[in-house]
Amino acid sequence: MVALALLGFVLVAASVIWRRTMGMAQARQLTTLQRERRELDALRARLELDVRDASSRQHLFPIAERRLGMHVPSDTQVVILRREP
Amino acid sequence: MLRRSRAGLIHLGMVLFGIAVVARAAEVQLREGAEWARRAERQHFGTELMPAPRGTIRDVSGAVLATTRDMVTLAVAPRELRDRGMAGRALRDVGVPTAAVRRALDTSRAWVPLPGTYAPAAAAKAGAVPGVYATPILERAYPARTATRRVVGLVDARGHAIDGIELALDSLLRGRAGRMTVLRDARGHGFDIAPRAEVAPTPGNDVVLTLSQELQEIAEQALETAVETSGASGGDIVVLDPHSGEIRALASQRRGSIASGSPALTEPYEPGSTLKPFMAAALLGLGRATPDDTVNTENGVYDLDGRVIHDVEHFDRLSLRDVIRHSSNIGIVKFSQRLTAREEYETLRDFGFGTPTGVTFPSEASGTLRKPQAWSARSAASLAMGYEIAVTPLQLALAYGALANGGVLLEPALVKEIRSPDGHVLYRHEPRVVRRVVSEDVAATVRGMLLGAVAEGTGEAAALGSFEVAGKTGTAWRTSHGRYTGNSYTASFVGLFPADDPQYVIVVKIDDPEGKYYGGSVAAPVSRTVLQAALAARDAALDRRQLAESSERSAAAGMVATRGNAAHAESPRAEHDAEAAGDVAREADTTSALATGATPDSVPHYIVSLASTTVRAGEAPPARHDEPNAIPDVRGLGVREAVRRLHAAGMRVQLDGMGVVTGTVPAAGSVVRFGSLVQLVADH
Repeated sequence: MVALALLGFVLVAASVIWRRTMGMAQARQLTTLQRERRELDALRARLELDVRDASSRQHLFPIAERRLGMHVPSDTQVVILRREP
Repeated sequence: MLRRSRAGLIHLGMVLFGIAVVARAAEVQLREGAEWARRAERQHFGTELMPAPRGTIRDVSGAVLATTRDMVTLAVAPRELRDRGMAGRALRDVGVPTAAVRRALDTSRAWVPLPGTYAPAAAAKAGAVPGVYATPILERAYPARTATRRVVGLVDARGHAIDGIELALDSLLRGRAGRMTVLRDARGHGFDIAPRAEVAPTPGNDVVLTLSQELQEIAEQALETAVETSGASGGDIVVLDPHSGEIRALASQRRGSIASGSPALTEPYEPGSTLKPFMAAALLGLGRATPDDTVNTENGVYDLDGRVIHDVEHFDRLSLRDVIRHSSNIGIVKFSQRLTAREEYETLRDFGFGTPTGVTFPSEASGTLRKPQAWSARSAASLAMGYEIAVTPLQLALAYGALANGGVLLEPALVKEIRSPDGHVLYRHEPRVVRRVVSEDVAATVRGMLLGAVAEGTGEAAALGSFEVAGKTGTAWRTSHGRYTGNSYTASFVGLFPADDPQYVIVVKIDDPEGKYYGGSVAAPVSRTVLQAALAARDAALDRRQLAESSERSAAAGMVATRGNAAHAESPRAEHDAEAAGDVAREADTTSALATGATPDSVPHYIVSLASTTVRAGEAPPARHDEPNAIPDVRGLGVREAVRRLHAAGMRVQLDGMGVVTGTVPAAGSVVRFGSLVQLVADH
């Protein structure tokens, strides 16, 4: 009887410890995933800023002028095409 | 017997001990349980603040001007490092400067915070080294290098706004910090598990400015070139939508000074001849003159009670229309004598001079407009010529905006929309009328005069080849220590584009140029450069359908066929004033180098096409360019269908996720211009 009681106690205690261990492991995994998500969000934000900077007129103009020989068209060189609804 | 009694005593002792333990346990659990639970809570859990991310600031087309991103700061406890070589390599890999790494490995120090912030992904390896501690922070990031920085402002390292829109709208942008519960071990260190948010942080509201990032860049670039080539000490450009009061660009440059604040709002100056159209408006509005009334302009030299007034161009007589066209000081002084001092003062006051405009910005100057009681005998004449008054470029843009929109002075706007983090619109700018200043007829008549000033007058260098531009030049003496120096000038030009239904009011001011100093030769070409670049830009807040109609009307009227670009050198004005007109022609060639170098017929035309969309049966027709478009509600749709609908509504789309669409930024129903960028948020 005592042995059965002790066995029951051990089983309950083991299940409690297992549940807590699993909970902690999942919490750690969740933390890791959250951190990774933040890192990727931060990376994405940085890349977006880089794209924005790289596509700015300040950056593109000298390249377009020097390497490609481009220039800003005068207004007479711009044709706005109208499409009737 | 003795042994039995000893065993009985031991049993009794054990039973009593057991009873005592159980009793104490019962006392701890039942009577003192709550108190012990509280103590355990205090020891196991700690509360920390969760900073709220500041709201994003965007331009009118949706481009991000300021955003908040997760970064980390690094600190090292040198005495906790087990492998200093490995720690040093990890820190160097992250990008920590060598000197700082050396300091971080010095065991004579207990704690070394490292300078700078680092991307979390890059810092993860260093943060995994025992003895290196990474602390996540929220950092404000500004994508634009210099454009809009003066307007958007700054946030310091502690997250406090210190300038610009960041400061003006700080309470709306900063959000509300939350609280989280952190599980701690026996030493008080946190476990590596996700903290529990007790009160989630509330992110700040998003702000959409009226500025166009692309137009701002164009203005800054043109201004920088103009200041450099003219040897000026600085300058400002303001571009305003005269129908809404929305500011599209606000560029400033000061030689040798670091960007801070916005001088176009805070530094008033004497506007000179750019003030003359308001005198003309007063004369017309009060019925004291018609555009064709003439005055004797004394062949360019006029003695007014001992004060000699000169004109650059010499004429016997000029009509009011020609006074504006040729910017005659004598003419406007003589015409303004038909106004009382009170009328002159009230006209300028009604156009908004001498009063802050109320723009959403931390600082703004009111300028100077003295009441008639404080005037001297010369003040009325001085004011007519744009002296004894100080205005900011923004005030001048708004006053010309009243002439452009039919006579109504509008409140300026820098903020177009404020949205809560969940996308609800909290505020949306609607044009707010300050007062009607002049009638529509008077405004139209003055616009006609300004058209003449660009077509055949002092502002020829601002003319375009395929669109009509109206405007007025100004050249004003500058003061030093309260006195006119006589050799330092402010060159300015205010333009309305296109002249028949202006979409832009553009104010160009160049401070103290060297050599050529006339507004027509220094500032007017800058206006032309900005307008040409805006026309060629993808998104410069222009209504291209309306522009196409303007261009067709201009071509039909044959008004621009002989003007613009290479036509300057053949201007009839050159015969009148060789020096000034020659300057105009030469300046047009030098400051607009990007726009010249090829005649219209010798190179292929650049074609800016409107978005091509296919209309399906049962759908609304494509968006009209001459109307603001509301963003359609595409929530619940698949990404492909949502993109198609947004394209059909004339918007550019940026995807954020795939699957089913959960919302858009700006929110559905927001009114945006054709071609604006809309962010499509999907569920995964």
